Amino acid sequence: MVEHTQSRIRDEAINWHIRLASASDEEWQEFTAWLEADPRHNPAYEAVSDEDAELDFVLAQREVMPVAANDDPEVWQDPRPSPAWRWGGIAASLALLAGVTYLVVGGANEQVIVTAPGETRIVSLDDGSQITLNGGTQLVFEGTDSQEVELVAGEARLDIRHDPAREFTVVMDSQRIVDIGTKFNISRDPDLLRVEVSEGTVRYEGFGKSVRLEAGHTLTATSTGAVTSGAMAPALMSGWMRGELIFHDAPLDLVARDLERASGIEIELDPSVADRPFNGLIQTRGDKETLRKRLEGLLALRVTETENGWKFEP
Amino acid sequence: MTEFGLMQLYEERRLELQRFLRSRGLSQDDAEDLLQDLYIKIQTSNFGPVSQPRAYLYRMANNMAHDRRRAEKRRKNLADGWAASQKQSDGMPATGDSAEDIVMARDHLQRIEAELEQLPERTSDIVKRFRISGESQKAIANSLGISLSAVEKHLQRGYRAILDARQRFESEPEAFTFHEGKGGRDG
Repeated sequence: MVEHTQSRIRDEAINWHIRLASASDEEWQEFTAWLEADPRHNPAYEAVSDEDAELDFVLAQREVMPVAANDDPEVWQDPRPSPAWRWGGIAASLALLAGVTYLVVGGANEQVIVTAPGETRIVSLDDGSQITLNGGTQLVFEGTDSQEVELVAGEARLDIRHDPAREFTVVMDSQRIVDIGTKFNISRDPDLLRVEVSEGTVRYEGFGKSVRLEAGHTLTATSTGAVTSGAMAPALMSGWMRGELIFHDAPLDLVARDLERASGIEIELDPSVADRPFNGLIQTRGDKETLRKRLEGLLALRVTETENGWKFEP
Repeated sequence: MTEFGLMQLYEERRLELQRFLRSRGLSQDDAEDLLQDLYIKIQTSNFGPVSQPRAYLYRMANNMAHDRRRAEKRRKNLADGWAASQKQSDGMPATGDSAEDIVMARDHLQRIEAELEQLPERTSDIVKRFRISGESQKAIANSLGISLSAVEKHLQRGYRAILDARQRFESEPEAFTFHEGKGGRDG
């Protein structure tokens, strides 16, 4: 009998955990009532929540598998490759933790969405398209339709539903990314634009150039008009969503900015090391102290706490 | 919704949020503390449009309560000297700093994949889209042309399967190790 009740309580806890992701005000009040109804309810709920949180790391393993299997085949081998799992990662926990915003399109007004550094947000469009914003990001949606969005600053992962009848455009001053139905990542800093395409095709337009990018292609454009394309395994793209930042010969100045965006920690970088190139992967998970020590090792810098955040110096 | 709007809502809902936090197991003092932090968070964050502001406050408070509890648990574990020596999971999310963490996580992942294979295709599809791809329940419901509560039911079924598998995995991880496609255990 006791076991049967425990199993019922656990089922209820699971049901509540799932409902809370999109619960209304009334449902949160009902949740409170359920918690109050029996002292075993809260511990059961906490257990379910913790178990689900643990899955983030487990599920992220799906993403770390390299496209070119040059590691131990026994460890990396996946006998059942499944395209639906190619993109993903911790995004689901973002859905639970970050604000989730539904845009009503067709309205006359412009809508602005802003995230603070360290905060993430998922925006769902009526057509099922989805945009996930990293910290420190500002996105402006034009009122009349959902075909154009302006990335004023920051970084976003876009999942645009395929619709041959329309082109979805991301505008950044005089540069544009035009897309028909694709998954891609854009990051915009004042002096640098970075694009990663994981599925589908986009067209970059800027500085008098027009570049077609397909799955596995990347592009960077500096403010002086140097436009370069490159390649990257789609499974490694949008690393920020999995708590991983990957850099190839990136100046520490850029590394610091990306870290700020992802962590919300203000970083002061000693100018003498701003141009030093960094190659590697930075895991941003874990508590602050763990991250600080990890950065000291990876970046070969002293990372000290200041009033506002951290200081990076040689 | 402006930051001012959320602050005002916070004032109106304070007692209710306090009651909620108490039901979540916080002492009166801890609940007060957390509400203060929540207030500061609202003041200092930049908010874009928030579609359900009251629910948003609840969600923030709930997540902060989880964060505190987990941080406290981690502190306690470190203080007890567990972190270095324990083999079993302490219920805390792995940080992936050890090779052992990664190998165990991959084994666990294969077990989850196996569980999902056994579910009806639609259920498994919905679980993957929600939990892995991060699609909202509403977006999933819209794209499939079914109701939100139908999506919820699929998720409940899927989560039960995955979380129960996790519990079994935690108690006997060796039984679930897969090598070269051979199963280590039935079911």
